[in-house]
Amino acid sequence: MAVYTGLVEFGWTFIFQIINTIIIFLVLKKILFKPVREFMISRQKGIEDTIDEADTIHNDAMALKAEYEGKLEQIKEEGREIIKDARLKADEQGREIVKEAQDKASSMIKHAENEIERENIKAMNELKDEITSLAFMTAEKILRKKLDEKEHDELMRKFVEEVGETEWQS
Amino acid sequence: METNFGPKVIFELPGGVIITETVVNTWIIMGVLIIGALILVRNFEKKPKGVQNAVEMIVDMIYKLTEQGMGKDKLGFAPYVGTLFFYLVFANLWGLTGFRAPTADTNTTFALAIITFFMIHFFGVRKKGILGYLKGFTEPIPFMLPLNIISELATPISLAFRLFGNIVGGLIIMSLLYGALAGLSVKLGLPVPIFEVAIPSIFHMYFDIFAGVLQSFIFVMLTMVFVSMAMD
Repeated sequence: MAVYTGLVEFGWTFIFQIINTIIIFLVLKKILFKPVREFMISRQKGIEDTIDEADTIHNDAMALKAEYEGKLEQIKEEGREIIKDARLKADEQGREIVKEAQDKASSMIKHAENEIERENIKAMNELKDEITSLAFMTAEKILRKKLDEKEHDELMRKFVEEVGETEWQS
Repeated sequence: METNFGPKVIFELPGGVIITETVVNTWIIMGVLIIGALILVRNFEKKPKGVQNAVEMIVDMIYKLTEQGMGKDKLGFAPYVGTLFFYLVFANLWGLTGFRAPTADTNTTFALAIITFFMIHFFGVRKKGILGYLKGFTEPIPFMLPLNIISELATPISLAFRLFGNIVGGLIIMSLLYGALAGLSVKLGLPVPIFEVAIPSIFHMYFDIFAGVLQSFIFVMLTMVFVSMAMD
């Protein structure tokens, strides 16, 4: 025959049920709620971290891209600048070379002209000397007599100069 | 027909410590919950699949319920709220197995209500300080002091009897119904008690499943509300 306690009767069961409740609470907290909650939080954090990281990497990449594009643009600009400079320099150099050549040519021409002038004068002087001696010889032959060389030399030079001035100047 | 609706005594420990079916059934429920939790949480993976999703959803639901009922700063109560809810649902539905529900015993319901009672006052004192806590009894006017004390003492009693009454009421009605249906079968001289096949299931649905889950929820909600009210 089964023994029953009363429908509303307090006994040891009350103590047991308090202890049971505390035990089940502590056990479930340890094996169910805490680990699952921590697991979920850590996963959520992991996902957030991954997204943040991806964002950071994306932003970095975009910044790098912009930087490199800027650099590329700068390099192109520099290239254009260098080409322009080189062209200007080459032009200038070319002009300088031409100018130098022209200067040199003109100076050579001048030099040549001077040389020609000098040769002219020299030749004329030589010619004068030649004519003097020729005249002297001619005169000597004509006169067949010995003249005072000093006196006649002077006379002849004057004659020749007169002749030269009139003849060579024209 | 059963005439005594009290819990059966299973065995007696030396020194007159009586172990009733309430305690034994509670141990079984504890075992089911603990083993179930161990099995379900054992193979948790970073990428959830299958049953892990369900476990996570339920745990998350408990935390959300605690957050709504008590506030974000009191999420630490969630494990107790969840334990209480799971234990009460299992205990209330235990009647469906043919065993006696542990909550159909004032010892169980009062044990839970007393824990709630101590939580209310322990956390109230801890949050507000002993003076702030005592001052709460004289509000809104000092004249209310006796009423406030009665109200505080009534809280666990009403919690315990609400749950007990609902569950034991269902138990008694179901027991009477089974008796009546059996009696009807005998009266009609049926060789097989045909009436006891389908008819009780409808009543089980209401008294055990509906009332059981509802009362679990009410007990948990009230515990949350009382504790958080004592702290705010």
